[in-house]
Amino acid sequence: MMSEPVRKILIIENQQSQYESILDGLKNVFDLLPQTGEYTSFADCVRVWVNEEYPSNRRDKSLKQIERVIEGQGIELILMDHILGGPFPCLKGIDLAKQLNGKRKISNTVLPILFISKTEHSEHSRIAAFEEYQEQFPGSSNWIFKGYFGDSILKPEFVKKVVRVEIEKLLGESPKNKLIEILDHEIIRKGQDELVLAIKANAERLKGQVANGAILASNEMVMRLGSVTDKNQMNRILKEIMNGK
Amino acid sequence: MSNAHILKDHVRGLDGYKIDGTHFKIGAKIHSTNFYYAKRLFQNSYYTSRIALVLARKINRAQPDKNRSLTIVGYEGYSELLVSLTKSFLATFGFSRINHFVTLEDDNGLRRQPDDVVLNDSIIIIVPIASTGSTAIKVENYVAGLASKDSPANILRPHFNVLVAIDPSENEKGEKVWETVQLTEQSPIIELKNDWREPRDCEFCFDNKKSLPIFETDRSSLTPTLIFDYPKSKTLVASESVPFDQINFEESIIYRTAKRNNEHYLFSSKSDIFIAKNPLIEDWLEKIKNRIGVKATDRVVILSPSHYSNPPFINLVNERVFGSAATIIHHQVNVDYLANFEVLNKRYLERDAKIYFVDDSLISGGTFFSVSNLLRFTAGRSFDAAIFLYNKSSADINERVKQSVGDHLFSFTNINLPLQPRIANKNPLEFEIKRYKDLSNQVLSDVLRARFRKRSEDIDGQKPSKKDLSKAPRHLRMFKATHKVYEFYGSGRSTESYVDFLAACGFTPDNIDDKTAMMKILCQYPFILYLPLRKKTFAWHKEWLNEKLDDLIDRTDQEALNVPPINYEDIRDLKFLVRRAVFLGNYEVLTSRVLGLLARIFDIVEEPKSFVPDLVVATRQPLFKELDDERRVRINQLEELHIFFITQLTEIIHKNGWCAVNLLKNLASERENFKTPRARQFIRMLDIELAIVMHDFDALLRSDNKWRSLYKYADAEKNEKNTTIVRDPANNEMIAALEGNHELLKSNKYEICKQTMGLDLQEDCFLSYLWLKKFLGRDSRINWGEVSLATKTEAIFERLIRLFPDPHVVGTFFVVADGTDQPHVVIDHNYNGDQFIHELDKDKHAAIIDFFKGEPAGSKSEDDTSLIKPDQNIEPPKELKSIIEYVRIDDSRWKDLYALDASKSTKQLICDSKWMLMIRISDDDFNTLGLMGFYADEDLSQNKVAKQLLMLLRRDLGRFIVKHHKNEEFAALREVEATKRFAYLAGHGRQMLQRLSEEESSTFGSVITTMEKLQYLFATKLISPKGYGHEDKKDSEKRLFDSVFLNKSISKEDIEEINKIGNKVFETKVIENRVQIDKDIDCSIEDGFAFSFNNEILKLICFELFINAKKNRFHFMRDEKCSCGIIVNEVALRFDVLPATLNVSLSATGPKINADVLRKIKSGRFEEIKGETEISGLYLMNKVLKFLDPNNNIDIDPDSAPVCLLCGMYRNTAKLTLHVQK
Repeated sequence: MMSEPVRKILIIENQQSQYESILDGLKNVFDLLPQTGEYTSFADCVRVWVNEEYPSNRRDKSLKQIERVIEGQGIELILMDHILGGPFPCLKGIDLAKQLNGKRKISNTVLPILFISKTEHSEHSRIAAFEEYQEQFPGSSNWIFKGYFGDSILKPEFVKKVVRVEIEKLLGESPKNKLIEILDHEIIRKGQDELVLAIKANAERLKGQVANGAILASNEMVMRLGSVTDKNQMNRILKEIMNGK
Repeated sequence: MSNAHILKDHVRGLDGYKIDGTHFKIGAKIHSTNFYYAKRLFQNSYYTSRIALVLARKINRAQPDKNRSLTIVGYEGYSELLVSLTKSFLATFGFSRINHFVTLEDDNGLRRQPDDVVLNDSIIIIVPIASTGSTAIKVENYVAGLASKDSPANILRPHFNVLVAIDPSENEKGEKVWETVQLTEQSPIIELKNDWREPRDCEFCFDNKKSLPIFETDRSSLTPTLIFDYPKSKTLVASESVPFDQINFEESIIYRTAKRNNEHYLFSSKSDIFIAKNPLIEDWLEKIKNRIGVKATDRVVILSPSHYSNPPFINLVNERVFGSAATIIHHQVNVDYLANFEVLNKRYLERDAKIYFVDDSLISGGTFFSVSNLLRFTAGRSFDAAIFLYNKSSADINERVKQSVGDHLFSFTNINLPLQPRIANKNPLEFEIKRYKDLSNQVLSDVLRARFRKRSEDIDGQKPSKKDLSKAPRHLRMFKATHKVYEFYGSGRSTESYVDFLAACGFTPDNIDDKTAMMKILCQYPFILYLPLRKKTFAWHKEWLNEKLDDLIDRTDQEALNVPPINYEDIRDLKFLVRRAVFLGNYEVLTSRVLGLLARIFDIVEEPKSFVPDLVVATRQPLFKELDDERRVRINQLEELHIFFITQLTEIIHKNGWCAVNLLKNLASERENFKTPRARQFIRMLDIELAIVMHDFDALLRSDNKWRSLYKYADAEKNEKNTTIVRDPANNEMIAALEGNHELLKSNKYEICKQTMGLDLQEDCFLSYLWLKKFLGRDSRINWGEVSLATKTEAIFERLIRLFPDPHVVGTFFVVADGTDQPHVVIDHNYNGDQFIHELDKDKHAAIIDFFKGEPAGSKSEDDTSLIKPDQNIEPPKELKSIIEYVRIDDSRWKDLYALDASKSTKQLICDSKWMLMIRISDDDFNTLGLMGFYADEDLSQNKVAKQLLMLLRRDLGRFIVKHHKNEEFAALREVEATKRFAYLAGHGRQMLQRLSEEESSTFGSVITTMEKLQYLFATKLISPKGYGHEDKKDSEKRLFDSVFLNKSISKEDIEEINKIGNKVFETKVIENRVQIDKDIDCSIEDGFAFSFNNEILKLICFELFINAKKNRFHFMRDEKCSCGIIVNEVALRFDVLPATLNVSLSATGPKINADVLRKIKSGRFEEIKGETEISGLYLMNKVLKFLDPNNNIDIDPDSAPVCLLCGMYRNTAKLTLHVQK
């Protein structure tokens, strides 16, 4: 039986049909948001924020709604479209990403963002903006194109083949995943008691990378680990703790 | 005895600093007969302090100003003692500010330790041992690089080399044979004589009579990877174990695939099978029972490590020795808490209890000592005895365990198994895994890449195959041989004869299986690390190889009489010996006599099916499946004989590039003797693979500072410079970076490339290759700002054809795979700019498409797949052709020059040239990424260098495709190609239009068709077969337009259709998402309405206006109720007919439109609406309207009315003014 996907991905996409293609390609792999019934109202919030002609109080409100989804749902990565609205110039995906991650940078909780766009040509301003974004938020983003299959884009097979891999790569680089990897490695390499010591020793160092790094050193974790001998069980508990369960 | 004599005797008595009479590779430039083991000297303060004093005095003299601060730099960790002592002495001379660090060398070059030492006023470099002096220069360059540009490091000269071991030989003119120019600015402390050879013609490498095994060192040329003595074994007490020869190891030995704690074991064993096969264990346990004398009243405890493999043995011991009365404590080492162990088990572990350690294997002793310490900690005592099934420990561990149990160490079998010495910080098998992985990355054809990768994976146990029982006897023999070698040398014996050695080890010298099993293990780790044993093995193998070669050369001589023909076994033995020659570094296999023999063998075995006798008939057995299978395996091996020899030669060349030069020289006289298709294939593959020597030169280039900074300014920041790299056609900048660079151009690596591939820096093909390496390398790392993929790809292919001697006759094409692995042509032109392929056609270009999709490398028989037994469940290696060459026979038939089967060498291909070369570019899993093709009107198949260079660039091009393919830039490139014929001027993505026409064809079908017609028209309007001048252009366009859009009448039905289009635009989810509007768009118009204007164009323009209205709608937010009370958008369409004009207005609620956008629309600057690359749909509409009549107009009402200022809702109105179309 297939296990329930746990990694939460937020899709910010202006075209419903492309949102559905992504949903189709990534379902069963990730926990995807917004849900289908919520798509329009969520996308409209985004469209309001990117259009600077709307009054600022409406834009602020829409941003709060987007942030509420991210915080409330424990989003781990955003799949971000580039052109997000309007027939006339609006703010782009990069602008929204900067806005969302700007605050998070202070608390060291920058969200990985995979930009996905159908923009075909290597226009300079887009490249420069992305490079600037990467400089501002190093190691937490990548840019891919929507994939051409003859006349159509974002076919589910492309999403499965390319987008998924890119998401996994970025998630792999996320602090949480890094930590899980470290712990997996430690479990294999060391015994349980040594592992606990290693976690304690690493907790301080990892704090910089993981917002809730302090929990690692908590007695609760040591106690929970102390009661198990099976490696898989131990792994599961570690991951649960990391996921805040 | 005089004091002088006493001193001399003392010095002579010192040993271990020099290994002479051998063959050492020192760096890349020297083979030496001696090796000075300097490390030991510098790790001993007796010598180091004296040397440090001398150094300090020299530095003191060279640097009289004591106020200057000093930094002393050493080389490698073992110089730490010397450098710190020198520092101490300098302090006593009055220098008050001194610091130091040592430089360490690894795969990434030099680094310093510690890494935070600040460079002082003056820097002094001390190298412990030098030969050519290059180390000090290397350190100097490194230190110079550490300093900032503003204040360069003040590195004092001369540098100090403590030991300098050089060859002082002079030629007849009295000149030094060996150039050590770099030593002129370096000062030696102790000079030593050496005897050097040039690697290119070292007699110990290439002279069969004098050849010796070559020994290597670590990267710093300091630590030899060898053990100075013979293997050692444990001292055994016969009564405590059963003699090795009485034990049955059948079926219980696992060879190489066992991995434990992430480490690989050469041999491992299965305890349960072993116990079942050896009833002697029970007798042995009976003896132990008597020896240890346990009484019925004794409290007995067995303390064992918890492991899945040992319970059968523990239970057996408990049953036979203790009458099942012992308490067994199965302790999880490193898992169970020590404190818990004490609480839970202390009561069993009292002083008067008899406590025994029982386990199936003793190897490193780690588990034993861990449990033993636990017992001592808990109960303050040691074990009464330790009982093992196998004792595989080394002599020292065996001794320690014995001592800790008061000599009561019992093991059923004592096996001498290899130690695990570390090579380059890795265990031998891990080292081999890496070596084969490196080889897989270096060889050029996918067939060899797959072979080496498989070998690496096999050793790594990544893809465990089911146990092949046919190999079990061989593995058992090797296991026995390994043990016996240790036993033989452990007992202090020695012999010069392989026959005697085999006999002494209990093998039959005449038995080929015994002989090969012993040779096989002697040529492997760890035995090749034992200096004296390796020398012997080399000599034994050389003798055996020479005998076999002489025998086969005699028997394959066509003029020889009365000689038995060679058979499968002869070839099998030759293969075995060649394989061992590769392991041992016996370069005899590169000689012309061996190459000549190979040519003869290829002649003889060209038809493997006739060569391998039918074993079923030969043995007069009834139809026996095994024999039939065995025959097919043999046939298969012969069919792949050329690949076997290529892999062996490639391995040798990978180790020593000069072998390629020698091989090529020796091949010259034999080349024409390789006549059969397989023999020709061998030569073709070999010619290509020889080019792997270039990898070493490429690596050297990458480490060169000048080369690294070449074209460095080409980056996103400096766009004006970005194209410079593309525009260096004369290679001026590249030549400037290389010219006068002696380190590069005088390097052995460059010399090897020159001699192997006939390349020279004067040649454009070599420079073009280097340019491509540089260009592709940089492209993989940086973003190039404005340089488009089209420009890059064109530049690459322009250079690729320059790899051919006459680029002006070569045409090229480039095919890449799309997301569904379908081929698409992205480059296609010859020297005149004409196309070769046009569009790929499955009939015309089947040969290209088949090759692109991957043709199996054709060495095997058709019935080959039957060799994969269904129960083996092994995926056969994926081996696809990497390169193919055709020459044209007639109009449509081409000959595949590489075909092994002549009957299948002809292919259909409709292309206009005489010769074609294709190279498949693949990813790491050998899947096709792209294909590069080259063609000419003359046969260029004899040009070797271009093919070598192209094959060398395959992986770089693969990375190029992957990088840009990932970004779908190639798709964009294809579209750019397409737009040359079919311009996409509308702002909507082609994908959106496509989906609209698919989902609502009845509504949108005609609109999309109009759009495409317009696009076609605008894209082709300037193309005229006859050409025309500027004056008549406009008329021509108009005529063309009218001929495409004939209808010039708008009726009421057309307006109703426009209503329908409007409603569908808001309904469809293809444009953003479905949007509710207050009421359906229903623009009523009176019956009989008519206006002279093309109805298709009007519908298209209205469609465009609806899309804009939808996209610029007002966005309502959930939970937001504005006091204006509007909750859905309002849209209204209106037509006003005036005599000569038709006014159309579309008003809709939405946010305010940006004032700048309004200004641009007003002033007709539609192309600027959307920024640099996006194009507004309005742009195309305006262009069409103005084309029809300059008075036609599209506008947006600048005074859009606010509906609600609170929520920011406006009513925006688009206005269209159309004049009667004439």
